[in-house]
Amino acid sequence: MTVQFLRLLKGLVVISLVASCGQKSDVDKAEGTIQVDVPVQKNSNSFVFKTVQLFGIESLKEVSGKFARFFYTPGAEETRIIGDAPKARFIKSGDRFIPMDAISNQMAVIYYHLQNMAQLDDVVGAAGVNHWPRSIGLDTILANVPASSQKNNAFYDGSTDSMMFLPYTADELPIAANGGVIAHEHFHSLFYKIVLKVALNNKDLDLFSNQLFSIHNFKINNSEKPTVIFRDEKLNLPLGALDNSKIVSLMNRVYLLGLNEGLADFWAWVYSDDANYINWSIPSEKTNRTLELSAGEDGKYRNNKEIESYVRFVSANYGNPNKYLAAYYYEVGTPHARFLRQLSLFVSEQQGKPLSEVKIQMAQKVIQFLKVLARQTQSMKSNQVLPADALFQFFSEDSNLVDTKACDFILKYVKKANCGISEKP
Amino acid sequence: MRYLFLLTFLFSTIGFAQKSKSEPDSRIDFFPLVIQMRYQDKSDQTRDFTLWNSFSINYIYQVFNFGAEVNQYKEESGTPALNFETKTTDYLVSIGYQFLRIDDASKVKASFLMRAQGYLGQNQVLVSRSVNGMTTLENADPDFVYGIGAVATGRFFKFFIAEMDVRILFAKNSSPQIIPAQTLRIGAGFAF
Repeated sequence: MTVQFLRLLKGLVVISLVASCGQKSDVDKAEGTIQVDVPVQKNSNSFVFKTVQLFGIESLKEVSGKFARFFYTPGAEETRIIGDAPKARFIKSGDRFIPMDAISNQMAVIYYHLQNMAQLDDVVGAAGVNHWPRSIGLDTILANVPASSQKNNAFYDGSTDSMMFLPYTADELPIAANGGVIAHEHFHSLFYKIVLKVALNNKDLDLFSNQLFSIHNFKINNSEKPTVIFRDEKLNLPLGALDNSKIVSLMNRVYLLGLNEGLADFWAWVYSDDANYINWSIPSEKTNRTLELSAGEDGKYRNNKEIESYVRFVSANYGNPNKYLAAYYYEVGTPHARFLRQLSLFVSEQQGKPLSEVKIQMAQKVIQFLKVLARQTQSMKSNQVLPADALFQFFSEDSNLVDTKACDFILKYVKKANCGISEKP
Repeated sequence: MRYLFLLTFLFSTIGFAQKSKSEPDSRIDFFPLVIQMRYQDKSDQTRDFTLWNSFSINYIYQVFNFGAEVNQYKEESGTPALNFETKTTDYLVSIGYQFLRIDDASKVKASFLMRAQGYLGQNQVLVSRSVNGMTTLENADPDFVYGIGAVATGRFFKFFIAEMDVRILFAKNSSPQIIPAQTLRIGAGFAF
């Protein structure tokens, strides 16, 4: 009798499973345009949950579609990212989907910001530079880096054309939920494709290979932090151990990658409207990375002479100068971000245009500048150094700014009598 | 379809029931100490056993068992600045049919019983989210839960009771949709 009963039970279990499999969950059924609640920045002081629309969703379970596809703890195989998609979990409340956990929330937030990035690409003249959907790695585990560098960071990987987020273990807003960071990383993909790919193809430049572009420098031990030593011994630098062609190569590398970081920060501000967007996720970087130009800092940036001194010092004192140069990229880049933000504020004020409109105009000019820079790097020879004031010179050529406060501001960065006059040799 | 299945299951098992020794027709068992494990998706992207808090009470009439239970599971993810707390609560009723009983007439006065059981109910998911200290609550649209299982019961000294059940639960929006679960219960009961 028991045997008969167990047979019956087995049959019923099979029937139950078959009946169950026919039912799709609300998440499985969702596709196309989906309403999702995500945290977005309301202003420079607060984040709020807001219902937004995600367009072109093909699978809400994987939050994949027209604009993004996700990989959880991915790997890299030559030029492509590999791995499984994370499983997103949502509840449905009326017409809205609410993420049930932090990773599902990150997926929805990143998708939302990337679809906005696609729109931004279009309006600033960068349409077609990127391929969509973008590949995103979550909780990425980095090999061959110290444990302290395996968390609380994000980077764009040019070789796989993907945006990677490392595990976030701090108490603040996770990097992957910070729209400014996503815009920053997205810009790296533009810079990589417009400028760096060209530079990499110029064998004379010998710039770098397989470079990662992270949201902040990978941590190094304080005891060997070169920036501290550099500042202390600024006036008494030792002679470089490398030959001149290598020094020139490193200088160009520092300038290009520094510019990459600075312009990415500007992009973050254009998108988030927050000069301290990094503070939400990495407060320790606030002072170094704020885009607010403090009094007396206008006109100051790392010129070629300073970059050369630093490169010579680091290469003479450290076996692996790349690590220390990476920390210097932000010192080179941040003044550019502050310059562009301040210029936007001046132009908005003087021309009476909304700041949002001026920001787009400035972003368009940045893309134009990248194309000019790409042409320059394409034809450069191994002994040529990129001028560290190239961006400032480019903006000084705007004839609309002649005899304005904005022009006066630009002229603090370049040696020219007035704006709108090309003084290139 | 699924309700038809449950009814079919419950009624078709009646034919296999064994007669038990004479005792009062009715009893009530309640279980304040319950450990329930479900094998399901978690917030850290793993599929693993999760620990649910449960309370259940059964009314037994002859070989039929009528139960009610509340099961709850909480999980938290995120950071202090952006936090997600999800609370899933099941309200289930069950109907079981006892198909095996073995009595021990010693001083312990123990009985070992087995029953097949069907479950039906509703689950409610509440997501509590906070960003920068501002918390909002969101309720999911209610979802039906149903399932089948088998329960092994040990009764000792008339009052004490221990049960172990295995079950398969189905809910359209749970992840995965079919969730295996195992429950250990310790409680007390009295016949009347």
